[in-house]
Amino acid sequence: MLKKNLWTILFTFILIVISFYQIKSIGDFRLDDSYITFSFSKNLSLGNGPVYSHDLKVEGYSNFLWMTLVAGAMKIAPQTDVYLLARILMLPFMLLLFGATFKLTRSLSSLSFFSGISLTLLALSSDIFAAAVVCLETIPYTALLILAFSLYFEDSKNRWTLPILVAAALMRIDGFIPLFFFCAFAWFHTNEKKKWIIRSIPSLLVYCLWFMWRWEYYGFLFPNTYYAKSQIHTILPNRGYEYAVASLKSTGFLAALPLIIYMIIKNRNYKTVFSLLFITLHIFYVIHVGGDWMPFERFFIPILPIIFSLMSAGACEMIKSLRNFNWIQKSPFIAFSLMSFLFIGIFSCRFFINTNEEKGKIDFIQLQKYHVQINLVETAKLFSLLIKPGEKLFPTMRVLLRILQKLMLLICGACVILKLLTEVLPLVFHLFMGSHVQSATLKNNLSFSIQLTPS
Amino acid sequence: MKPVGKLSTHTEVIMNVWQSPQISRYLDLQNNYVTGRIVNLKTQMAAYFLEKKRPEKKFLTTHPEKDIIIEYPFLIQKTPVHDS
Repeated sequence: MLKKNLWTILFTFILIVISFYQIKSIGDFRLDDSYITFSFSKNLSLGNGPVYSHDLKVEGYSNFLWMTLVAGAMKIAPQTDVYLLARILMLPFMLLLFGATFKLTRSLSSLSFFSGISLTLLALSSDIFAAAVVCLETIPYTALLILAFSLYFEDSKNRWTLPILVAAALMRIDGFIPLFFFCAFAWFHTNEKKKWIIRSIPSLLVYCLWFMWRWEYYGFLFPNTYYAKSQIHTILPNRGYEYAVASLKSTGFLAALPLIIYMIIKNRNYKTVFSLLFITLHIFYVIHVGGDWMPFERFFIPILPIIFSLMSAGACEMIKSLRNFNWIQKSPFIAFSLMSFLFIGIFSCRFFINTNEEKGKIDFIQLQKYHVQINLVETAKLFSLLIKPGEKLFPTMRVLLRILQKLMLLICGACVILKLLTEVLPLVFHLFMGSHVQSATLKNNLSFSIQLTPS
Repeated sequence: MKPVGKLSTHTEVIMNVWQSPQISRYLDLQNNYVTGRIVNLKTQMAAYFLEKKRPEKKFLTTHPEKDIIIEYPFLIQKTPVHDS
């Protein structure tokens, strides 16, 4: 017992040292996108509602729950630097991510040692720490997602899985993908389908109510960020594919494939099928939406803990299946597993710069640091001299857009009513009352059909 | 923030805006907007911006603070035509 505790303490200490190294080497990395979210948080905390600026009701964020949490922190400590508040908020989510990944690997493999390996890989991933330091919703979203999956893997009837996935969907707008994927999978997997539907209604209702509220409040089906990025396909049609290839190169994930494949072959239960389907769906989704510009593979972070867990579980299965072999026979397999872990660890950590893609990523982080802290923060000070509170450099188009939208609905409605009155109703009368009703429209319709009939 | 003489035309400023060709399809940045800049005379650095033309707005040079100028450098001023 004492020996086990000693190992746990030593292991935790190593994780803390790696984490401190990661945070120190990344430094004060800030992004303008985070400031956009914080602008909504600030207005919400001041009682102006979730708006970007005075009277500018546009959904320029895609992380509702994160924006709300930051607003709560700003309400409590309005004078504190928003980035400091967001980083304090990030800490419990980082711990949750590590805890959930431990649980996820534990639910896939029988030895807790391999959960430790998953956590080490997670700590070595510089992308995860960069995502935490910039304070966007990536880490809270991933933490909730992995927690939900780990609970589902532990017990497929766990009542908390769906509410946590709904929270993840509120954390990030495209969280509806894992939510609906889970619903479809769990529904097919369960034997009590009716009971499952009844149990999931409250959680899904919360999500639907939120979606309807934001649609009504902002007036558009999707957030503004979706429409802003919809042009990317036209300008850069291969960006999604290039993003995926660059991510693979800079993180070395191909090394994980043999162990993951081994795990799937050896252990084909609902957990591995679920994990594999989700990873595939997520990769296709990222390629389809065209990836992202931020230099820390943000869109692939949600599947990292699942990849690490599957990989560790694969190594566990391999070692278990070699139980009856002697050490000389075992050693090539153990060496192969170790090499895979080392390869990914070295590629993921910024301490070792192995590829041009990784070097480019680190340079881009430096560029962004300069851009935000020197360019934007300094410019904001100057702009406060130009624009007084409540003023704008250009009047918003929103009012015009809403009027146009309502006008279109009105025209569509009028067209439907006109169609009903002139064409459908006379036909109904004709059907029910025989040949007594002969409207001009009906005659026209008949003559039109006669013309179309080949002679 | 850019050095004062870095951008020399209205079009050049528009081309420095992210997704400006797409935005221009709806807002016509070239014709409906003017370029302005806030210049820090001490550092000779400027923050460029686009502002919508509107009848009530006069785009005049101002000095909101010491060493700071707000100006509209590429605005074509209509000069009265004199008959010879």
